[in-house]
Amino acid sequence: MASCRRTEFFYRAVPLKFWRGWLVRQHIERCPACQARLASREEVRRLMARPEGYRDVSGLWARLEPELARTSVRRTTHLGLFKPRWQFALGLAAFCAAVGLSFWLLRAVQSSGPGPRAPRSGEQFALDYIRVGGAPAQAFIYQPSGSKMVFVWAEKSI
Amino acid sequence: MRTDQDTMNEQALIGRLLAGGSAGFRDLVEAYGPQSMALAVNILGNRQDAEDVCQEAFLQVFRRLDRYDPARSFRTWLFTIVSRRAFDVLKKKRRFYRFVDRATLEPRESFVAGADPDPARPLPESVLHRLTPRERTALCLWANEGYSAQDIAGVLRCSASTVRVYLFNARKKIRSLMENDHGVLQTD
Repeated sequence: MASCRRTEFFYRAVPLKFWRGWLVRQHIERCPACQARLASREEVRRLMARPEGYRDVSGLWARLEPELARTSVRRTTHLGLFKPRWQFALGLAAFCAAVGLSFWLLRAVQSSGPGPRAPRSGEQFALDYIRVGGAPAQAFIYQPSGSKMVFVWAEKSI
Repeated sequence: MRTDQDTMNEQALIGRLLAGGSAGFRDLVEAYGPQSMALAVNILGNRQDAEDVCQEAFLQVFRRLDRYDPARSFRTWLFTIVSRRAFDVLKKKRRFYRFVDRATLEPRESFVAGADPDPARPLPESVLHRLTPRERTALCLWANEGYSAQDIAGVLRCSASTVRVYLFNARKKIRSLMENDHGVLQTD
């Protein structure tokens, strides 16, 4: 038929799959003459391996069973004590962050609480400048060892 | 070919599997093992590789069942995994096959497709070598499973037009082999 020859010509001339697919759908699948030039479903089935030939899956199951058991154990273990690594790392990081934040908050509350502020260890008493009677004075600072008390002795300069 | 009853059975099977771990998996292997094996044998051309591929495919299904989308056909999902695994095996073996092709110059396998050919027999070498792996996959799903071009496109992850071209080319090649008497394919 002329239309079949035309279709075949266009099929060969334009090697684009969507174009060829369109030609197959539009003409070849509907044309009895073109279908007769193709192997039928039954003919293809007779050539192919078919599911009926593999009904006995015991061999496949024998290979699968130990692997499935291993996979199941791994899955159970993951659901129990040992979660996947990224979850474990995330949990540990969150725990560390919570501990650090609590420690910092505790220190902040303690340091800003009521009452006289105690000198911190390592804090030094210092005076920049002392004047007596409007004139610069000599200053002596004395702190007994082991005591927090500080004596300041100022003497008028002559 | 696929009925609502099949879909319901499929969903019930998946439900049992999700509830019961590996216990319900045997039912799944019994239900889909033969079809998967036939597909793998048709793509690969030998039973040993097909069994390896099916084993890997079912294990992948078992491990990743939580990723299965119930809106999609389970059979199509399984066939996608099987065909991809089979393509991977073919890629790995391509070099070896080239060597075998060069080495085996003796007459190719010849058989007579009688009234009741062995259903477990892989594709004859002559057909296997004339068709591409994707053509073999499309042809197997079309002939054995009654899949439409649209269904096959879901397995091969390509357009339905492309599948039509695969099917057309494959059926034409087979017809050509049947008509040209090379002592390769003979009917009755």
